[in-house]
Amino acid sequence: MKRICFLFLIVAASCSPAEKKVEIISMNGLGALKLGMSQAEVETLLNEKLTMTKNYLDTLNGSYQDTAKATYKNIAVQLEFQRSVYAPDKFRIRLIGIRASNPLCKTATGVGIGTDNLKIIADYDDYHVKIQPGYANYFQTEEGEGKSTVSILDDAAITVDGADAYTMVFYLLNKKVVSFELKATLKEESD
Amino acid sequence: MQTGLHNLSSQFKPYVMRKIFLLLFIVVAANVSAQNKEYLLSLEGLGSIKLGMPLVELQKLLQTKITLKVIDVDPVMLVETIKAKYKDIDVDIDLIKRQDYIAVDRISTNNPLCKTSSGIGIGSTKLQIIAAYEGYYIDATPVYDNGDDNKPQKSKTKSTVTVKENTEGYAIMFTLLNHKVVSFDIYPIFDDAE
Repeated sequence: MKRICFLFLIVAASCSPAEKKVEIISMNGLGALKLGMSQAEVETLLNEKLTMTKNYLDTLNGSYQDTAKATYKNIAVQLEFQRSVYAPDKFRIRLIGIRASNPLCKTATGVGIGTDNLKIIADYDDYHVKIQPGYANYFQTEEGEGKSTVSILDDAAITVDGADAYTMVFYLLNKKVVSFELKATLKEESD
Repeated sequence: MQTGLHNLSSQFKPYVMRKIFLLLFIVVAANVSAQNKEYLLSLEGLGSIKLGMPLVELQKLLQTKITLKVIDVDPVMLVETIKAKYKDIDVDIDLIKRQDYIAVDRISTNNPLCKTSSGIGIGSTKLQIIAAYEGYYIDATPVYDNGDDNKPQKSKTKSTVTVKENTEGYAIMFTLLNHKVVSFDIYPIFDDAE
């Protein structure tokens, strides 16, 4: 009987769901998903072919941005890509934005979904921080009661000419994080 | 009879004393409140000195004639900084030459008497400022100084926190040294200036 119970315990333990792993949010990415990666590199990492929302990137000339929804380690993410033309008929498509709202995503100091705005400010004391009412998107601000945006800017671009610049954006409702976005302004590449 | 009068007097005295103290308290409190208003920091200015105030009004307020050495002389120069005494505190005021008149364009001071309506003043911290200005646009940044190689270097001790109601308009900039406010500047900000 004891051996049966012991055997049962071993089987039960091996069947229990694997502990969910926290993915680290950093200025330049989420876990292994890094800003600046090419579309092909992202598709290899995610093991899926991405479908762009507006589908500009395959059909229009010039430089444009487009988005795709995907799943990274069971975390729903919205990815923003930039197509940059760097020579006649030559362009690159690179990841410039990652947006998510999963509580498994946290910074190295534990900032994530549910974190208070003052903890974010305290954790990033040495950084350039911008706070504003509403949710600041690329071209407009989504206003609403209790909504605010806290942006952490990597000011490396100020000290190094032409360097990639990164921004970590937290969207808050009633002073608590509800989602985040990582953004990059990438330096122009040449052939 | 005399005992009665004595009793009446001894009951009356504490009542009168209480009334006198109450009156004194009201007078002192009113004075303190009036003084606080004179040193009140807001997005509009410092006490009675308001951004946009014409030079003529400023001179009346400060009860002094201000002699301009730059903008009244050089037609190209548009801004001049003057040092002044306002209610016994030192202030720096930027005056700007507008089309028809000269006006207050910036007010700077580091006096500990100056505080915002929520009590932010000399010695306040960044977190206190941010907590006091919920719903405002806030820009908190380290100061970048030019290093020996003339490239900008992030200061380890100096930073600023700028607060405004909208993307454009008047702003208060708190300068911090070692995480504590050491001075204030109040001035207009235009969106394309950021």
